[in-house]
Amino acid sequence: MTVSDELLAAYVDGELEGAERARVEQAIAQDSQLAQRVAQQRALRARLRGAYDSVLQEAVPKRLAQAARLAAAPGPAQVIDLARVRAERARRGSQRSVKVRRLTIAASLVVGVMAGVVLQRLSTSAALTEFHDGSLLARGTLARALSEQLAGGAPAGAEVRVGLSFKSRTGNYCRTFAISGSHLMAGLACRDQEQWQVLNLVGTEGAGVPGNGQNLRMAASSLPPALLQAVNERISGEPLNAAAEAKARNDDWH
Amino acid sequence: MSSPPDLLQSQIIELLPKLRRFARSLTRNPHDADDLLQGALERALTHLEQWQADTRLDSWLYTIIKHAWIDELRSRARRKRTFEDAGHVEDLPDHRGDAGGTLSVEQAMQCLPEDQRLAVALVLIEGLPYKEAAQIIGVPMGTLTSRLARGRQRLQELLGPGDCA
Repeated sequence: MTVSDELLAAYVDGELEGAERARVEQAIAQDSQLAQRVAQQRALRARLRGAYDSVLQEAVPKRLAQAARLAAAPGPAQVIDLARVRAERARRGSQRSVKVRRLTIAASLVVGVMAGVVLQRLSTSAALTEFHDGSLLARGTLARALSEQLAGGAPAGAEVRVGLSFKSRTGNYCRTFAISGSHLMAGLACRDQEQWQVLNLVGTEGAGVPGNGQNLRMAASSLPPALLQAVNERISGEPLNAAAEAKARNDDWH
Repeated sequence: MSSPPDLLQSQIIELLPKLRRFARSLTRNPHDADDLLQGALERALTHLEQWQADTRLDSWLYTIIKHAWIDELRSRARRKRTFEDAGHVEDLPDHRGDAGGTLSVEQAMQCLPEDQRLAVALVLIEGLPYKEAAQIIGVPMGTLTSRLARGRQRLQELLGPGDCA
């Protein structure tokens, strides 16, 4: 069997399957020149990889990690875009463009679920949050509750109830919370430079909201799925127990 | 299918070392590579709506890096023309290695034409299947495999004794 350069390359690159692959392998086994060409190609691959693989071991510069975070969580601009797109869509009725559909997908990436509810709620609870440099920061009652409230310790009728607290993989404290009102929302906030940065905010429909039950600390199963996933992505170890939570609060969440 | 932003974020962060490697294989030095990647990530931010959650995130990001790189090359070409018009000549990198005129892998990669370098970087260094690589570059499979073949041949020659010429 003659093996063309291209076929040989495809073999070395792992592109061949089944019978074709077997035929090339058989040919290689019977032809030492062919075997040598394979060895050369493998050596080239290994040499190229060897020259660049050291990059994988290098620490990623902070500016890139920061750019990646912004790329994935663009913050207010995208959310506001969604509102505009929705208004536009309502006006245009059935003229639904591909672009709108794409933006809708993007919006679901950005805010998880029920973007409309979240937007509406955000606009009516401006005092609870504030956009600052592309981050959504907790303010007012929300910031105070996150800093001071212990799980299950919310006063009757409180607007904000804190759920579970945990230490993130990057070493800062994070807490889930629920906001009551005409629409319920649940979210996750993490401590960042003496502030609470709200990383997730999802609209909920009452059931399964952290804050409705008494034993909230470990009640991860009652979190909305999108929020639970966010917690799972970040959590290092187990959620804080009551003692650890109180200690963290007394240490001002450092 | 959609992913919450945190999931997307941790996925992009996980991909950063690979993305840096890709950028490094395209550019002349580590600093240019990180600049390229940073610019590409900023583009990703404004084009997030173009990513379909059921496509490979790495392929999408490689594509953005490729676009950013091609734009960078174009603007370099414009700058170069401007300098040449003004009587300056841009410093060319020294393609000669230390050991008896043999090129390093990085130098040899720099000698390849852009289209071959992209194919080599995606398939031989990043280890992508032909199909993904062809999609990223935006060419048919046949074009990819012939660029790859020429790139390989050139690299074999370059990495033996000799230089760019």
